[in-house]
Amino acid sequence: MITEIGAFLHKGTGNKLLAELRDDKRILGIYVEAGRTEDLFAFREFGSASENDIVTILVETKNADKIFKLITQKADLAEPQSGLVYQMPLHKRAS
Amino acid sequence: MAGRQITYLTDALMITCIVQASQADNVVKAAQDVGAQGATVTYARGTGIRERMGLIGVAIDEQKEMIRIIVSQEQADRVFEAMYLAGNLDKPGMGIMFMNDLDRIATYIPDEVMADAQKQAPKKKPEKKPEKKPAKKRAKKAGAKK
Amino acid sequence: MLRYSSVLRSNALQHREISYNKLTPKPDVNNPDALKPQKLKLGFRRVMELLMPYSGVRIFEQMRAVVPLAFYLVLFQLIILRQPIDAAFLLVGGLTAVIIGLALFMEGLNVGLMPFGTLIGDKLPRKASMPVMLIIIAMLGVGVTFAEPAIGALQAFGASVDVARAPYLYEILNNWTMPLVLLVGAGVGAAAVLGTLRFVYGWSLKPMIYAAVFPTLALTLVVYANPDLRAILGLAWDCGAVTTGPVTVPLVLSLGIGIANSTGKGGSSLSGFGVVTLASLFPIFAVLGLSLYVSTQISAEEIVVAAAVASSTVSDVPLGLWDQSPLQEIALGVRAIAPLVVFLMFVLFVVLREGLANKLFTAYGLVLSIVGMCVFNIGLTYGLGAIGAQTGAVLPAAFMAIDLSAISPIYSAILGLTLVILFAWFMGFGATLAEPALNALGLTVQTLTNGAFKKSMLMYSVAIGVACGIALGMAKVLFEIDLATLLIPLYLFALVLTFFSTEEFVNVAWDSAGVTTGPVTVPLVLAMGLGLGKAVGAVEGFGILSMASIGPIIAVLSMGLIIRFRQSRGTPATPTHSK
Repeated sequence: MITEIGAFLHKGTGNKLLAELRDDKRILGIYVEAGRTEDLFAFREFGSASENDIVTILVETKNADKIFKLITQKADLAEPQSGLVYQMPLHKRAS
Repeated sequence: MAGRQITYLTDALMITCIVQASQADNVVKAAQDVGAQGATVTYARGTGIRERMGLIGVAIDEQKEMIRIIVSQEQADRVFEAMYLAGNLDKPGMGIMFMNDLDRIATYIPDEVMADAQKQAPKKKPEKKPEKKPAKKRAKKAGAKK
Repeated sequence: MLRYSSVLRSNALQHREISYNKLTPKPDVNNPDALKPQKLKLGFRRVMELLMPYSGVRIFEQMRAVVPLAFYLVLFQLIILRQPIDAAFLLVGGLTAVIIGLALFMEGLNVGLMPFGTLIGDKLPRKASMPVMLIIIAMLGVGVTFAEPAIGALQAFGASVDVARAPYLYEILNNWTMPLVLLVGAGVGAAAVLGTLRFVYGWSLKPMIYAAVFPTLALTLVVYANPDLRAILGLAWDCGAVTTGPVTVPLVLSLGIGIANSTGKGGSSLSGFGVVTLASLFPIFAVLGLSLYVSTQISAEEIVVAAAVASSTVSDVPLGLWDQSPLQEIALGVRAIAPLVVFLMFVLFVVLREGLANKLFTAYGLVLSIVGMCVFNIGLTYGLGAIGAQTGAVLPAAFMAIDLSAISPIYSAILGLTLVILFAWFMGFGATLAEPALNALGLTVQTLTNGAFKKSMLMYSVAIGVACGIALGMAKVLFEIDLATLLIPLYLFALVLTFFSTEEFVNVAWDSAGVTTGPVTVPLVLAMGLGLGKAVGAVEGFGILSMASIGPIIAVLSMGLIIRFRQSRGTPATPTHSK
């Protein structure tokens, strides 16, 4: 089984995570895309919205727990308004 | 990370909605009006129906906006419907949306909300504004297909 | 007892569940193509259902920009200047053409020209070596300058210069036209090359701006010190403003974005910007340099003598078929786009050996942009340009006696001058919103920030900046203020703001300076500047456009700083956000 761990984070955090986790053996794939959000962060650099990064990580379900914790730590979620991390089961995998 | 604690929230779903560019703000607004919290929007390029229409396909924007909203189980159907209507997904070429179960989510939760949620129920409530509505059978796959 | 959920359910949608399996194609032994996508057959009603909102939204968007501007000009003329409107029907037709032309052109940009540019920008660094890429970019930079119609407008303006009062300006505009255009082109080419290097190596824009602005300002001071050359300043700074028009900007932006995408090292999502502003600054430097060179070649007295000889031998050349409206507008529209497209096609197919992803849509977009440009040009001549010229001609009547208006001066000098400057402010605001290059810039910024930086927010702040700039420029012409005394402090102020601003806003702000002065603003402003300049006996009407360029820089940078200031005050704990 395989699990997707995703995170909506501050802009710039995505590429940092990508660089740090690239060599992690437990991670099957990591992708970063850019988006915008209106109310995830307190600081909105363009007035009504701010840019953010969306990180998608694919892991074996047995590793999901550890990676999820790792990401939440790295994303520094204990700070107010710093983003969100989710974990989602996936159906099928081929690689 | 001593002294710091991460709270996991359960009973969460993610709604993903893909609409034509510049429609996302409407849809997000509609979702927020019925209690959804944060939305993340990205631009994407879509193919499919556009290529099958010949030249008329230019009327459909190649650029799409992809909206991701994380909702609690209780509000999921309501938000889903509101977004469906706001996005006019019952018209041709307007877009598609779907919903996934999430195992759990983690984010910053203000202390007062946390205290509130723990008082309220044995289970931690995920939302800052607790919903009055009782749980309802969740629509697992309400794929909108015109 | 009633369950809350059932109340909610009652006013919710009718649900119907269908298995998606029923809608997807199934394998068929007899028909091997069963799984391939089928061409959709759409009925007339369905087609209309798609086309109505498609064209409606786009036309309405342009109407919202053009109609208020036209109304404003008409009402101002009727009520404040009390002058009847000439040729009203032609005017309405022209305005309709402007709206439709703009809508077509913008859609053509979005579907054809910009994806085309991005594709080439994306492939160029991968398939071509660095020198080849830079040569192509430099050629493109020089090429777009020749295609730019506004350059021609400047030359036409040159004939009206009083040789005795501004000898070198007259000399350059009349006898050095070719070197002038070449130098401006070289400036744009150099800017494009430097901008590309910036994308590839991820340099910050700020030091480049400092490095470009300081020498230009220094040269401005040198030229200002020579009373014979002083009048050149307006021309030089205006040249910078007009080099970047409605075709150049989207093309340069989309190319830059493509290159930044495929090679980019810059952390900012807006790192594909900066070429436009360099393309505005370098030509200024080039023209100022040219004027200094000319001043060593020929003395002011010689020019006056030569001009006297030349003016006595001038004969009227009959206009050719292509110089007459509306064929002239069509020729201009085709000339502005077609050669560029052919050149880019050559680069794509021959140099890069690449194909187009969707030929049908790209062709549709390119045709649309050319047709749109032609319709728009015709509309400008008969619509916006005509009403602008009418209003501009009677505008001085507000404060002084002129032949056109029997009741002039309508108001006292102070009230009249205030009205004229206010008029300039609102006209600048309205015209900027209708400017296609600004539309394209706004759209690009919005796309690159994934919609976080709203197009409307950029457009309104730029429009306010341009409005203030044009009002100031108007004051410059009316009160004969020296351009240098306005430009130098304003640019220094902009540099200070730049120092404190984030890279995102610096990128957008400086590029928005170049895009504001396009086909809508320039004719309106020139008509007005010319009318007023003549009326008050100013040396030349140049300089208004350059004021319209510095305005938006300051406006956008200020907006960025205000947003940051508000945000940091509103929330005490600003998170660890990349600045």
